[in-house]
Amino acid sequence: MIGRGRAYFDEEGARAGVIAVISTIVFFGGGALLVVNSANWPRVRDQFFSSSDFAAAWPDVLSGFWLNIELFAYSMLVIPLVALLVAVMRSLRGPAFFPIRLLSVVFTDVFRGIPLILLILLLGFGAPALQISGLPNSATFWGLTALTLSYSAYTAEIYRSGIDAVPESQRASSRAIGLTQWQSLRFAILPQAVRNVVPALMNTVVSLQKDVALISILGVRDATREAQIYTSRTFNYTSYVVAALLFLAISIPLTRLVDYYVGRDRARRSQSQV
Amino acid sequence: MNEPKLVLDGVRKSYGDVGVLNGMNLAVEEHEVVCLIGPSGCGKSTLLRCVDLLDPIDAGEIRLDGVDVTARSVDTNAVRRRIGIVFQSFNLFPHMSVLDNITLGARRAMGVSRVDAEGQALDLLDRFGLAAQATSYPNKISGGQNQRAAIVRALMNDPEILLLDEVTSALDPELVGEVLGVIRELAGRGLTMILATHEMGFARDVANRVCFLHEGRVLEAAAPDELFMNPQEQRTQQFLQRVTEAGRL
Repeated sequence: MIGRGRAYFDEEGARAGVIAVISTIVFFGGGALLVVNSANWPRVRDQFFSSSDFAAAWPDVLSGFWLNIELFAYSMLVIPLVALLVAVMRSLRGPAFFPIRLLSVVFTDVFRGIPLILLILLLGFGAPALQISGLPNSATFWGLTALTLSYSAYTAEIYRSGIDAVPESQRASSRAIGLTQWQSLRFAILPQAVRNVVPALMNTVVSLQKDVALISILGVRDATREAQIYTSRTFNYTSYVVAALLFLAISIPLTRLVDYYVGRDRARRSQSQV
Repeated sequence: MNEPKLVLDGVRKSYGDVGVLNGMNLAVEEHEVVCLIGPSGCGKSTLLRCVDLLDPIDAGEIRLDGVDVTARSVDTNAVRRRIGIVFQSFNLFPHMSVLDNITLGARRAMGVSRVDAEGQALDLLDRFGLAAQATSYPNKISGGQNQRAAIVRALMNDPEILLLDEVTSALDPELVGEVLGVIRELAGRGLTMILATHEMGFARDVANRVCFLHEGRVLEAAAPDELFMNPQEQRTQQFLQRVTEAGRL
């Protein structure tokens, strides 16, 4: 790894570095020129990249974005637990557990099978109408529930693939030392399974962070909705750019973190094959 | 007459349509070391897995101290704690240190305190020359050390019977000796053992009785010298012939 970084400063590497810089400038510079020189660029610039509108839209979109962050945080707490429960239910063995396995299969089939946007609409508008006592009636709550159910179904499948990837012999040897089925899952299988799927889980986190924005279709005033309100008031789209930048401010660092973790994990695994 | 320690009585087991154990009869006395030999697929591993109740049998009985342990009413976890098994590919838990691997069963299944379990484990590790590896992870130690640690793990519950499933097959040749040394010591202490093995020389050395398995049944059983020098069945002769040609005897 270190060797690769240093290569840019070798004699050969210096040349490669210069070429990389030049080609980058030509590629992106050319692209930028193409956009800026197009006939309608001035109008598009005023519509999407107006600095005064940026400043005007910023406070509302930002306050909406805090709601996105809040919903993201809640779902991050709930989804891993629900998903793990569903995955464990599905991996139980023996005829007595059939109804539990069935429940888990139905859960994943249904909530993974319905498009997320449809699920948000169905629950967001349908569930409050039921007026179930004891449960909140807010669109935010039910939108968040829809998001959680859908992502839990996906995440459960990720966990399950991790559980399946643990060799059968590990289960045999944990049962052989006298552990019960549950103990063997808890102490031998799950720790290995979770470790197997951490990279996949982290990628899900990145996509969850963006999909939180879908809740705006219920009229919940998150960043997207606030941007939309600003646009319909002023006919200027800069507010959308504000929202997009806010999402990027979270998702890019998050993606880099995932890359870093996955790289480190891979290095450690390849190292450990003695 | 006293019932032997372990009795397999007409045990049948198939995976799908393939019958692996076809009416297996075997009796093992206390303190006896029985070696199972035979070609791949003859049922050696399946027999051991069934004895430890890791796979349910289709028919027949497995009696431990005269009690049918395959009966529905029997607590399988309790039976497993009386029997130790060691697999060909070690199967230590990769996410735990050697010490945690060895004490997991005692701590979780037997309810032994961590201090007591670790004390017992360290004694055993010391006895088998693994004290220095206690805090290492399985992927940081050699195959032979892995396998000795797996044997220690199986010994933690003070098993009444130890089952060894080709425990040297996955090892580099120079590491086989250290594992066989451990088994020899255990045999010397009178531990009841059933070994599935391809190490004919070792079987001859350590076993009280050698059983040649063929198509899921014991075809021939005798004291090692007798079976190796003077096999009665044609199948046994052919098998030993091939093993000799491969330079394993």
